[in-house]
Amino acid sequence: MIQDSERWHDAIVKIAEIASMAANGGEDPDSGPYEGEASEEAPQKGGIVCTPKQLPARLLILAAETAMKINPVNAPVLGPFAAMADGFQVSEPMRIAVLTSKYWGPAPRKLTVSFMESTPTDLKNRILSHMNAWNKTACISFVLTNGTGDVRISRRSGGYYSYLGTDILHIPKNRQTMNLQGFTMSTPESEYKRVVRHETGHTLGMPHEHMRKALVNRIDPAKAYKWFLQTYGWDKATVDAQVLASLDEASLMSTPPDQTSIMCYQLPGVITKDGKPITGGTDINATDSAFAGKIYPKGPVKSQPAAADAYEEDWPESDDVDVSV
Amino acid sequence: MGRLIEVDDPLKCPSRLAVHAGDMLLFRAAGGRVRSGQGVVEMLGPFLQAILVEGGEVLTPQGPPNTVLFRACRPGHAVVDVITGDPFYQPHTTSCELTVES
Repeated sequence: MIQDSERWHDAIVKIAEIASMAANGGEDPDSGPYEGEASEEAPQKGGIVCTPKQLPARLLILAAETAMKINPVNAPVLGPFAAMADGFQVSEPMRIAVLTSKYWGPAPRKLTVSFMESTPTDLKNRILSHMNAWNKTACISFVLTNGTGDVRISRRSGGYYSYLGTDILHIPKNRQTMNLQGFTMSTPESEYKRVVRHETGHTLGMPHEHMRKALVNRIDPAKAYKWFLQTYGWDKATVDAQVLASLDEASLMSTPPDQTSIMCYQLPGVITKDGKPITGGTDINATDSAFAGKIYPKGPVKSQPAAADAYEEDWPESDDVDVSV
Repeated sequence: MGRLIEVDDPLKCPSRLAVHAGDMLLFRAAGGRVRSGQGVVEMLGPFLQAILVEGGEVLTPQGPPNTVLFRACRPGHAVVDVITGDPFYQPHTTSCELTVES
């Protein structure tokens, strides 16, 4: 429980940082709501040094909830990570802790990329160029390294997959974080767009779009169970996990579910209620791009001081203010 | 003693394979079926490979299942299908005729 509490505390601090930057629109945080008194303990060399104050721990959850109610911009930050804690409720602290732990943060970042197997340079560069298709709007870019990358790609069997967001940092260095089975220079360009860009979306922390409630609602569960069992031998639990589990809309960005998103699988009409297929995405579309740019904004976003540098200012609990938004 | 027989690339699996009762076949695949010979062979899964990391957390990648197991239960013949590639987009099916020996 103590560990849970600490994780929740850390998560809230992170949300507060992100919310602050979003609210500032990428402006210098020194001119925003964090402006305040300098800490007496802070160094004073060369001028004013501002150290953010931190709410007492008992108010952090309430503050985060209030921040999200006041400024809808705060909500999308959580959106793409909602799927990662499927089955949890928004109000459960652990959920948000898990969700925020996948997020790379809004500051520009370069993730290094390496390959598990010997890979020709032209193939490396081709894969990398498709990964960086997200970088047109997002502030995260991918760069090759001769060492061991943050992102480690294998082209061996195992299909296509990627670990989510910052989870990749926890994967043992001798294991791939992304699998692109069988990709070669002969693989069609359309597959690079459809698969590499999709898996890179996961690396950025994005879940599957076809798990949006409106799209899941189009699927007839009985048809889906039957079809996936007959076609792939999938049991109900697998179908539930892959196709029928829907994301919690309350914590998602308020864009309409988009069956052409690159993060949406193609699903056949034989499993839908209306007989029409869910078309699935074949490339990053305009909504994907805009969304990536929102959660990973390009521009002069400055890092907030580390949470550890903030100090907590406490007062008697009886002085707490009830804020109803 | 039963053996765990890993078939890393199902596309390269021979069309006929002899195994022993008690053996387990592991395919890197998104799905599978026992087309004939139910009882001779049973399918377990599919599974999505996950990884245990420091702290005891199990991390699961985003993606379809990628592992299928077949257990050779008793002597006889069976045909299994193994589905590889992207199950949501033009998957590939490979068949293998299994002879299960005692």
